[in-house]
Amino acid sequence: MNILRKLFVAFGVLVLILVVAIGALVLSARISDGPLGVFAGGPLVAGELVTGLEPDWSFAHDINTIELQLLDPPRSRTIWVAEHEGKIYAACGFMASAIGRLWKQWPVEAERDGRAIVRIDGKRYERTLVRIKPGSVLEGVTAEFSRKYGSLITPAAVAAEEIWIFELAPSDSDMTGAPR
Amino acid sequence: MKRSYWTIGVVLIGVVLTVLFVPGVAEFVSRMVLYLLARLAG
Repeated sequence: MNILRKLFVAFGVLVLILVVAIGALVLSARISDGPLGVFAGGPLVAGELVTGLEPDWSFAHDINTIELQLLDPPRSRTIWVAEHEGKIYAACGFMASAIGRLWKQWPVEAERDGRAIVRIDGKRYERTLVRIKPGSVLEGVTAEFSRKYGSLITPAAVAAEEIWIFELAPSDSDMTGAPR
Repeated sequence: MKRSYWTIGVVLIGVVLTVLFVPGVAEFVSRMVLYLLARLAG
């Protein structure tokens, strides 16, 4: 009985250590300039704010992840990015499961208010997130995501709302985060 | 206060300092959490 009690206490202490470690990282990330891995961070502050003409996004082919911050709420996270026909897109998976919905709230927030800042290679760009629904452009975009990340991102998964895809449109394009 | 409480308290403070300030530990914990979340959500 005594051994069982000691094992129980040791397990409890291990769980406590894990919870404290993750809690420390969550709090630390929230007050940081940008996300910390999987943990959402604070507003993107550092880096030149690029304005003017639309950039040539072809360089995004070689970028693995970017940082995305919504203006409301002002939290940032790390996301996948793909370039297709001169436009860039962000993808978010696990949207069909309850745990995924709890984990990933930014797509719902972005659909409400798509105003955002992305930081790519240390430079910041003002964008507007526009959700992409199944249509002609989706084939090419999903193919590019699949090629780049080796994961199964298909138009069918987007149609089933397992994966949400947003265009990172110019901020002055007078669009909202609502689907089109 | 019991000595074991002090021990646990010191260990927890050590954990916090380690994940915040030792290079690589935060990334490791982040990858672990990402893996777990992906498994659970998938």
